Amino acid sequence: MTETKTLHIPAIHCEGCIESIQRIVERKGAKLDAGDHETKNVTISFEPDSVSADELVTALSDADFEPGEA
Amino acid sequence: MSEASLPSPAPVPEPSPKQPSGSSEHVILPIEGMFCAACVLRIEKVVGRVDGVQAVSVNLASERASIDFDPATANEADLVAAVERAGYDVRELNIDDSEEEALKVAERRSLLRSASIALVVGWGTVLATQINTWADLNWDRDALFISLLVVSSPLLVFSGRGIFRAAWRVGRHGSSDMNTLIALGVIAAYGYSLAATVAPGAFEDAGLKREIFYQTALIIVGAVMLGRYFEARAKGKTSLAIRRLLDLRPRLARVERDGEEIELPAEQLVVGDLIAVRPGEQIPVDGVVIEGQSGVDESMLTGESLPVDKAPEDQLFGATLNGSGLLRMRATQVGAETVLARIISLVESAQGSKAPVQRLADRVASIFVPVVLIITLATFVLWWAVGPDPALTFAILNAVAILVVACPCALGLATPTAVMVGSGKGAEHGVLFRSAEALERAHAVTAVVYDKTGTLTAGRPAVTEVVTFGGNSRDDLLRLATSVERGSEHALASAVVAAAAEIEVAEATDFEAVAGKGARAQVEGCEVLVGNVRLLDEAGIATSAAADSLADFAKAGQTPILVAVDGALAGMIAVADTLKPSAPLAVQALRREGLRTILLTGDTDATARAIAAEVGIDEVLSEVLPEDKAATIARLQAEGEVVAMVGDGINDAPALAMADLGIAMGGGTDVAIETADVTLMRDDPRGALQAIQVGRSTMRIIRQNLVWAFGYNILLIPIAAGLFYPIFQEIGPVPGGLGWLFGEVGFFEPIVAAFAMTMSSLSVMANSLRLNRLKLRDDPGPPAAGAQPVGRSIPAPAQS
Repeated sequence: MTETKTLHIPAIHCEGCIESIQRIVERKGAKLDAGDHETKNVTISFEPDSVSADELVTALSDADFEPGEA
Repeated sequence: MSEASLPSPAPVPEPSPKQPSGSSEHVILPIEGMFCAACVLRIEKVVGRVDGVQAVSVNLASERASIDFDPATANEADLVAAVERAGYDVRELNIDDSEEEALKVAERRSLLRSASIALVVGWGTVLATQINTWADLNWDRDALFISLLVVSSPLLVFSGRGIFRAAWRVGRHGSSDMNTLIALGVIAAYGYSLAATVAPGAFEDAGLKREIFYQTALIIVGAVMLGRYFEARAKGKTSLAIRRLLDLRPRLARVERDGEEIELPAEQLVVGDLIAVRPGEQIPVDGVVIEGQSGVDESMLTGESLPVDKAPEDQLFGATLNGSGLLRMRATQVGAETVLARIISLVESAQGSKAPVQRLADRVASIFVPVVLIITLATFVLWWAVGPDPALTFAILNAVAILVVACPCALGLATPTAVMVGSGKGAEHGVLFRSAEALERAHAVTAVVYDKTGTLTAGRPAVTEVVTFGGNSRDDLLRLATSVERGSEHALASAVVAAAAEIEVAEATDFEAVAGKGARAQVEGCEVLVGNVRLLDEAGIATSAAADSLADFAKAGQTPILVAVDGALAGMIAVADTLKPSAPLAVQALRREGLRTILLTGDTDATARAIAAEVGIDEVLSEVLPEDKAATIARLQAEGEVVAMVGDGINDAPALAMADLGIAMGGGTDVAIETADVTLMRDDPRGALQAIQVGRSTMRIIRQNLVWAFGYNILLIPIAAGLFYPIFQEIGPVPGGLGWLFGEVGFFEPIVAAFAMTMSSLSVMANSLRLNRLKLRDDPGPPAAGAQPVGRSIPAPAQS
């Protein structure tokens, strides 16, 4: 079962940030479905069997992309 | 052949930088994927958190991270991992830019392919249906419709994939942009045709004309893609300036390591490296000459075409070209610290910044698309309700025409393209704008305030006049004075020494400096005093003979140095700051442009007026304390002036910040770049006018672009909405010559709308590119070498 999660990440600044986030989540085996640097929202889909939402949030926080309220 | 007589090579004084001094190592990582300043900060933060990292500095322009770390606790792999954790990639070192270039070429090629396929098939269909009608071939309509459906559907998906994908991406978030408009237009035309093809019965029952518009859909897509192709090409041209700067980045350097000369990539150099630069070679990093003499071509950084002479202790800049001499240099700044790297990052951030005028365009664009959608809907309903038969057909076609013609891309391109070309143009001439806002403000400047020292003048005192008494010759006087002054450290003394460079100097003994007054010494058996009037007064030497000259000197703002030999006045040397040769030209050119020119200085009124007269400046504000300079600028602003302040960026930072446009003539020092809106790489006061010129031209182009982009929409949307239908109803049928534009009854052809839209974007791009041809006024003037003395020509020696 694929799960999707939308996160609001205030640290997003530009299209480059979206690309960074894409690389980060892809390294974790997840997929970036959508990202908008103006609304600062990203939508990530992942298989809960292989990676948890917490792990993704931790990886993003490590890169200074701390998610805020979705 | 005595080998013993050869001088042994001098030991290298600097410690070899490869030696880990205690526990610090330095590495430079090329980074991929950075877009903006936030990316830079993020990498610095994440890498900085790694244990053992002492310092991180990331440069967006050169795409490099420069990291100091303790090899005991961290290694390079940790650093690479940290960069990756932050969401970026570390590239292989030494990859060149050709890969990026190849990607862009591939992208352009794909756009062109999409455009040409759609256009060829679209126009082919138009032609085929025309031939069918004219030649009365009576093709089977059903067969024709179905074969066109089969041919056009995959082509539309292929050629228009960029448009549909982008429209979908924004549409999913409930927003819309120009892709939305095009996609809706194409889908409407295609959907209508599809229904006519697959459900002809139901279609005709609904009162629709059984026609197809696959060709319209294809041509719209083709025109948009063709526009994007040309846009991509033109964008490549707008960033030409930055491309040229990046291409300047030096590649190799001959470095002395452990007494041997080895070739290293320039990015591996470290501060303190000793580098040999052969004739004709590029200087790899910033540094100072330690040996050798040569002329260096610095035009790539400063725009100044004359080579600059370099001798030991002179500054060298990376990317400049060595002339005919062999130079040995020591690296003082490497990597992101070099002047070139700073120029690149400055120009890049200026090109990426938003001009205030763009906010207007952005605001309009943001409400533009929804407004167009409403107009489209209204038009559709109107013609469906009251239009000629077949009403629904015309209603749909008019809606398509509006959607296509109203694309706001020209509006989006108007400002950024002009800013990119304009700031690039400035950079080519050594005029660096910090932001698009600076560019915009430069155009409005009404008054230019020049700081004096180091701006209009060379900032170094020089001998301007020599007056002799008692039969001494000019050379005699300078020789005696220099012999004494050589021992002195005073700034005025160094001016005298410099003036006597060609004269053989005698040995001075019993040198004694008299604080605040001058110095005395024994030269060639004579007692020589060199100093001000008080020094001679106290020695009981009469100075009345010099009274007239002293008064003249004071009026001209020159400082007198009196020379007495064996108790009698022998002569006087006048010393003053010298004007830069181009200073009068700079001021005259500004005045011709109708700008108010003002000299602002802390010097005495006499000195200031002398300089002002020399350069022909309008107003003088003298004896202004450094801390009052900013207040003076504010006062001018209160008078309604838009003030540009030209200074050296070091002493007058507050005034530069207060001015509407702060122009620093610092040649790329950190302070200058950080405080000033404009940095002049060339030490030439004419740069102020060039900055204003670039600002004015850029703003003129932006205004034209905006007028064109708005005007075009204001003009064509009503036409696309069917404005000409009632007109043609009144005045009779559409003339045959206008059929391509208005069809049979006066409605705007969607195909023409697609091309009009493309043309509007292209004309905006082309207009911005005109800035590349801008000629910056740069009167050659007198040769830059050697400063001109201030003051009158040397008068005949006064008689005693």
